[in-house]
Amino acid sequence: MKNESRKISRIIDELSTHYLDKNPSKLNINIDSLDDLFKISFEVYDVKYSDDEIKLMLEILNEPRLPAVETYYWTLTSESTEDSELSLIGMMIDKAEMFFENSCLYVYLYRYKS
Amino acid sequence: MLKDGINLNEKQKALILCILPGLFIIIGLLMDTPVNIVKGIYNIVITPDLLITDYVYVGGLSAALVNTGLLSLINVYLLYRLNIKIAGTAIAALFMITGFAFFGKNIVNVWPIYLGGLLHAKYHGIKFKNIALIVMFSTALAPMVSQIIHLTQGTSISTPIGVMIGVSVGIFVGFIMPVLAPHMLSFHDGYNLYNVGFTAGIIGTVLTSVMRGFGLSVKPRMILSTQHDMFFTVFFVIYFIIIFSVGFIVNGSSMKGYKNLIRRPGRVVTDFTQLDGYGLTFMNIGIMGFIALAYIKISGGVMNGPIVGAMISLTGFSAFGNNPINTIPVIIGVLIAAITNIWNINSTSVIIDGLFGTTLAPIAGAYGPIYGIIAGFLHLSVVMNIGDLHGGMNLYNNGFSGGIVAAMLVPIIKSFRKDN
Repeated sequence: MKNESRKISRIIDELSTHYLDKNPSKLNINIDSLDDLFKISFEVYDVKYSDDEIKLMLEILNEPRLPAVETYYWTLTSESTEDSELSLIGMMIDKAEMFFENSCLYVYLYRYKS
Repeated sequence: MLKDGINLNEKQKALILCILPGLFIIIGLLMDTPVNIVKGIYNIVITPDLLITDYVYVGGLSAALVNTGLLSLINVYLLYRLNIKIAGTAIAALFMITGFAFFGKNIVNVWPIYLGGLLHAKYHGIKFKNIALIVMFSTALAPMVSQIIHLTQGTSISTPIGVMIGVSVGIFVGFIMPVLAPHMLSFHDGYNLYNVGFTAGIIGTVLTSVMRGFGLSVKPRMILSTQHDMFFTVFFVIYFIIIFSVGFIVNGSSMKGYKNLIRRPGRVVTDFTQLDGYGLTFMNIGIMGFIALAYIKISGGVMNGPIVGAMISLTGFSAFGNNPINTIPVIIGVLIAAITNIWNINSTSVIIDGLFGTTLAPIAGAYGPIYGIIAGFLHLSVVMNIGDLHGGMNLYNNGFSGGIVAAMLVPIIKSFRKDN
């Protein structure tokens, strides 16, 4: 897919800004480029999230991937923290996993290469 | 996020989108003879389609309805056949085509742009379905195809060569738009819903300037019908009741969750189908339709092709950003501008600019109703002056104006806010 590297970096830009707004003590970001997919991992330390917030975020990020929407709008992914922009990230990835443990939020995003 | 009461599959969604064009075709065929309809569509196809050319006047009501219905149904089929998920963007793109098929897009002049999109996909080795929505929106420049063909008539250029030039320009537009449209988003940062309108405005301005350089005159025009106000009013009251009712049933016979939908700012990308579900989205389409109808009637407007087209376009974007809270302030701003400035509040131009001015709804959604009113006020002033730049070749003239207003206004608003 065209602009793959830029899209990956935009996804990271969007979500890292979202998590930095929560004032974490540490934010780890990791990208694994596997045979058929990119796995992007976030570890966000010392933040507060309610179960409902995590559930909502997970639902939004697990919206179906929409390549037609991605092709048009991916350049809009930036620093906003609105649900709608997280929604755009959801349309650009295939799967999201998330859990909260010892004040650390673990987020895993999967984007298949096409 | 609310889950739908009924989970719709893609076929069911496509069938719901077929209600409007289906009704257009059935009613069109019932109201006139096939011969007259074919003649009317022929007149529609051969007329120059510059803003504002009302197909209801040019071809007659039945032909205009059949032209719109056919073009819309073909595009629903394309979405379904290409396996493009019928989400908010697809609904908005489809309704834009349906609406503008009353004044500028017809069953002939849009296809060179699709062909350009296909060539773009082949050239770059990507699937056409990934750029299909941009191409659908890009038919804003369809009048360029017919206008160029029309302009070459009576010159030293032969008709076949004129057709070739017109078709080639359409193909070129379809080829470049998938790159240009995403690029232009950063200009207004998603606060202008009709981004392709802004992009098409830039292209239209450049190409019109070139044509004028060769002595080819391109000027906007105004051809409007006035006879079918009652028909369109009754038709759309019924349609909006139908689409609202469909949404109500899909949402489990309730309005639960609608408060969440109307609280969303609506900035691109706000896809109500994904965030709030299809039931609430169809209900919002119905509600926004009634708001648009109320605005037209309060303004004293006569329902004609362009006004109906603008109303349909607004309802399409009610799946992708427009809701009552972010839209009404912009309409009020346009009304204030129309009352205090030199324009007639009940003229077709002002009414369609009020309806299309809702492209700036995300400003009201994000920054509050006062800024929405200011955006609407500025929009009318800009849009009334900007059409001459592209000579009416860009059907989404309001998207062009909206991009300029948003790009100027949003940074100014931010400069007055401490949390910017």
